[in-house]
Amino acid sequence: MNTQTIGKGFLESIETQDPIKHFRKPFPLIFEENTITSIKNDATYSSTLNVPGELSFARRRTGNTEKIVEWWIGSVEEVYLNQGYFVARLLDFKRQIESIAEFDFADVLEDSTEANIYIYPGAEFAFSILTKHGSGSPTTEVILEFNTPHIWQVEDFKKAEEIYEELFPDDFKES
Amino acid sequence: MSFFQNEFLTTPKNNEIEVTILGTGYGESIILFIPGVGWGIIDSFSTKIKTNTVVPALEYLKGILPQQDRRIAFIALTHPHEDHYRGLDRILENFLGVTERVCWYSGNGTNELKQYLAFQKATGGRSLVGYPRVLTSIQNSIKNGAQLRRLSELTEIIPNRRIDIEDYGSTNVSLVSLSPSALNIQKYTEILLGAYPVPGRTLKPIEDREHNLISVAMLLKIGNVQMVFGSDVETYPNTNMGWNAIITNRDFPDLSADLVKVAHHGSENGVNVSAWRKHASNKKPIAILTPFIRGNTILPSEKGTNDLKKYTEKIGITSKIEFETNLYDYYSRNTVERGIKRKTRGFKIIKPIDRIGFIRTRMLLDGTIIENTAVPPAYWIK
Repeated sequence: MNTQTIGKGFLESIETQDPIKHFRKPFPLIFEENTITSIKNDATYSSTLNVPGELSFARRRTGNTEKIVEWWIGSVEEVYLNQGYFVARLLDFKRQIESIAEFDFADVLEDSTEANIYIYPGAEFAFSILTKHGSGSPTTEVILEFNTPHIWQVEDFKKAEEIYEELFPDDFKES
Repeated sequence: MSFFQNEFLTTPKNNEIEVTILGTGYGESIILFIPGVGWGIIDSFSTKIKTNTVVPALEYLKGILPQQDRRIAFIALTHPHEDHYRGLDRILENFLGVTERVCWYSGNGTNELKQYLAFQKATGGRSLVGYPRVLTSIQNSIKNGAQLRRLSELTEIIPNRRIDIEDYGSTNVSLVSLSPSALNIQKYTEILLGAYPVPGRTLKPIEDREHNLISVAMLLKIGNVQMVFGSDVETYPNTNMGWNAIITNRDFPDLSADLVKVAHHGSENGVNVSAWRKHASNKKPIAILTPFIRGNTILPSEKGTNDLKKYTEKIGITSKIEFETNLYDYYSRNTVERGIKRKTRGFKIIKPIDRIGFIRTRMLLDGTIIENTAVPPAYWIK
């Protein structure tokens, strides 16, 4: 019997006669050390690798799945630094409706003193509500993710120059 | 498909001035008919009606202009705010080759603004989305015969000239920009220069409101009628900026008006009481407001509206901003409601609009009002 270790990060190597033919991989698959996690947006979870015969399933040691239930793109509109909250406009792409929501800094950042780095008028973020399935009842998780502010590098000037030429081509044409 | 009812798509007579103001809660647009001059458009916005993205000014004009005569006397952009320029590229493209003038602030600070947009995009940020496309459309319009008018204090969009009008006779007409002042331009440029990136630091954000510094207000004079279109001009402490610069300008002592498009959506800064005393010096004008919402701030403000009541004959608002109170109509799962309540201290859904309203005023050149229509959801509050 041929043996082969399949992939990097499987919890245990799987001995198989002919791994490629007999594997039906769920999609998408993200391998992390010691886990297999499958994340799908809109389907019920199935992590089963259908492997025939005596071959064992790749077992999930921490078998959590996450399903995004709703999500919005947020844009900060007003910031109340002293009162510790901000107001944002949220766009629900699926339904094409907008909402106004208030968030406390403490619910968004571990260190509220970092508020002025991430949270300013115009800052964008993703706001998601997910359900997590694991052992036990499903739990709800709510996540706000801000972009990490970009630290300007010297090479960014060249990139900006190219972007300028793309955005405003008329400035480079002879009149 | 027309987004306006046919009964409202009528054209003015050649001796009638028409002002149609549209604004659905994020954006405003003014369509003018000036006898002896023709049609003009000041600013533009786009909005979603069910699944359609609509440019209301374009839809209105498509509904009323005959195919054989689609000439536009001028298209003006008062400042680079998304709620004033969205859809303007489509309007410019639609009237390519038949637009006589394109007018926008293109003085000091313009190149710095373009650079800033490139810097922002290089960091993955976004602001003034769609603005480069508008500038490209402006350039195309110029290549296809439109003349450029660079707006700032005392620019003549329609230079003062004598015209003959059917059923009226001869009279003078002019359309002039009242702002931005030299100091406004200087401050704007300084802000943009101050945001030039420094290696090792994050890019300094520019507050949306800073673009109001170069906002262009306009004064129309024709026959015995005067109208002021306030754009988003604000009041600043310095007398050489914003409304204070306009009302103290020696070359415009007469700011009386028959109709005023209220500045900055009726905010406290937009409603300058000294300016309104001047607007109301001959008779109380009609005031038209476009609503606006940013965060928890809904304009027009109550104070702004109350200040206006003393100086106006009539006040109209072009749309209503309403909120859905019941989350379940949109988010029916308990999970979602729980999640929203857990993470937010307040959540309200802006009620989508299902139709576009407008306020239209038609006047004769002696100031007689022959039509004052508020097409719902536009409404009069006085």
